[in-house]
Parts: sequence; C-alpha cells; structure tokens
Amino acid sequence: MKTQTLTRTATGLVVGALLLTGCGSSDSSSSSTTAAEKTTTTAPSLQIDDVWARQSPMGTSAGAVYLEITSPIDDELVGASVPTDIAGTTEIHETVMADEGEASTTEAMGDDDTSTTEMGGGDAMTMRPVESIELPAGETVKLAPGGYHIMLLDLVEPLEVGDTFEVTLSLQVAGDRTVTAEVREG
Amino acid sequence: MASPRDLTRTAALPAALLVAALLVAGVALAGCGSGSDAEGTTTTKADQIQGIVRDEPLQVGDLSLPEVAAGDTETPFAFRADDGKLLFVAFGYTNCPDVCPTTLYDIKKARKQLGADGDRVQVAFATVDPERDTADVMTQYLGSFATDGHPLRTDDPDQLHAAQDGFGVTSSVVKNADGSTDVSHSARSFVVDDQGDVVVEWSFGTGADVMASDLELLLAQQDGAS
Repeated sequence: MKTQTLTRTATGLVVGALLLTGCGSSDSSSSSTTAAEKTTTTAPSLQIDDVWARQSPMGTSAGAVYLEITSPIDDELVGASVPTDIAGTTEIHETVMADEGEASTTEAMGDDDTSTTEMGGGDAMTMRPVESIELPAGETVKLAPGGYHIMLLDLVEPLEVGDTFEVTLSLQVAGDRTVTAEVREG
Repeated sequence: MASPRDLTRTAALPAALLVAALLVAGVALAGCGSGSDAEGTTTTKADQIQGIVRDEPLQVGDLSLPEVAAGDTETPFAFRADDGKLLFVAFGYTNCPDVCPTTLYDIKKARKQLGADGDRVQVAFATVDPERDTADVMTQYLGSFATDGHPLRTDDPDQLHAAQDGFGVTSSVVKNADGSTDVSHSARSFVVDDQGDVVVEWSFGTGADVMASDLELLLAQQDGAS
C-alpha cells in the first residue's frame, strides 16, 4: 500500500510532494490526537501547531490564519491578534452553511436592501464571527479551511509565501500565547 | 485544576476516538479527508468521476456574464468552454478569506497536476459582490490563481441571478449597520464542456487531486467524442 503510494509520488514529482503535504496533515493529526490523549497526564502542556496563513491573492485585503491547538485542560480560545503592521483587525470566524447563519440574519435584517435570493442550493456558505472556540481537554481542535479561522481584515500588505508574523492567541484559562504563523501558498 | 469532568472525558475519549478513527480511515485515504465524494472509492487513482454528476446535465452555454479586464473593458463571456477544452466556474467574492481562495487554489494546483493539459482547463470566477469587487480588483485577484483566468462581473443583479439560476447557486450580500458586509454564496464549483453542459460539480473541499483526476477523465472523454 505504502510502496504503491510512493511509486506514484515519484512519478508525480513536484506535484506528488504537494499532495503529500496536503494529505499528510490530516492523517498525522488524527493519529496524534490519540497519542495526545494517552500522554495527557504525563505532559500537560498547551500545544499549538501548524500555524499558517494562505498567501493573500492580489486585490484583496482579507486573509486567514489556520492552526491546530490542543489544550491539556478545558479551555476556550476567546481572541486573537496580530501586529498592526500586518492587519488592522483580527477576528475569529467560522465558515458555516448559510442555512444556519442566514435564517437569523434574514429575520434580523427584515426587508433591508439586499440582493438575497432563496437559499435553495443547499451548500451556500457564509462566515460568521464567533465569540470563542471551545477547547475540550486533550482534544486537538483544528482551525482549517472551511471551518474555524482567524480572519485578518485590512491587511497592510499582501501576505507573501515565506513571510512570518506573530499571532497572539487569548485563552480563557491559559492566558495569552504568541506563536509564529508562516505564509504558505495554500 | 483537573476536575472530575476532565477525568471522565479523558477516560471515555480514547475508545471513542479509536472507533471513529477506524471508521474514518477508509474514507480519509480516498480523498485527503475533507472530500465529500458521494461515491467514495478506496483508491486514489479513480477510473470514474468522483464529483457530482447529474443525470440531466445543467445547460449553461446560453448564459453569459461580462468578462472584465483592467481599464474597465467588458466582453460578454459565455459559459461554454472553447473547443476541446473544459471550463471551471466558481462564484464568490474577493474579500472571502477562506472558501474562495481554497477552491481557487485547488483548481490552480489541479491544473498544474495535469501538466500540459492544464492549459485545456479554462478558469472563470464570477463575483457575487460587484460593489466591492471592481474590475481592477477582480482582475488582480483571479490573476493570482490563473493568469489566463476570466474574471466575471456585472452591476446588473438580474443578470447575475440569471447566471446563478443556471448553475443552481445562490448568494446574498447584506450590509450591516456597523459598516461590515456579510456575504454568503454557494461554495460549489462547476466544470462546463464545449457544448455548454455542466459535466461535473464539486462540493467545497473536494481538493486538487480529485479535481485533477476528474478533469483528466473528462478531457479524455471529450477527446473521444470529437
């Protein structure tokens, strides 16, 4: 099984390498979740891994930071910030199916001037700010594309591959932690 | 700090996780985890389309939106691939930090994986937020993912809705009192052939490898048909 994958990868050259990065992250994290569970009692420390931001396309002033976080205790991620020379505003967001988000928005907005059409597609998605993200003890919580992300608004300059910047995470119990985000192509 | 609640949680979880991991393992291998392929095959090298294929394909070849370029020139762009090519279509907006760049990056990567055949896949991205996405913004934005891409934009909501209806997608732009804007849109992407038929639809998170695999099969089919 593994050999087959490797042979294919060799043929795919650069492409294969990219693929492995993509697949690898989800595979390794699911196994490390189990490992973390077992070792929680011996090494209770807050783990924040794989902190990255996507290279921002030209023309946009929005970006997103993703990461994986494992807290040894029940905690909550309640805020995030980046230096003001990176982005003007930082918010924790969640991408959700629009059905959930939309229902409340529409009711709240009434007949305001919108171009809303019926949400019939079934897969319409939207983003909403979240107050906090629960971090149950020992569970790896992923901020990943299509789910939770730290949204950067009013980027001062486009994020370019290889850039790094600091992200300060505020945890309800553990306090503030500063980690380094790396800008990747995707 | 370790409360009784913590202890029960840690005790109960490993077993549950193991079961979940076993169940998920097969699926995860197929499509890099996040894929929502209905026909989950267990091999990566698929010999059939993994995206969504309708019995009656959507026909969008008669629909068009203005293609914009820097300097505000507009040319009507029909949702129909050039002869022998395929056309990737997605709707979104440029201030979208999560869904849109993920999908556009996936198609960029998929085209790269196709090598020379990548040029046979055209890319169109239509904004659902024309007020903020000016022609210049759209051109620059899509250029980051496809230098030969087709940025589509119209100020006419009816024209946008007509195009969206053709693809069965929806969107809404809501301006909030605090000055922020909430945008929602279908995260699905589409591939149209040179007859104007939608030959496959991909849910968000399908991933570059499934896209590349589907495109390769569709290009081969198109070669066989012509």
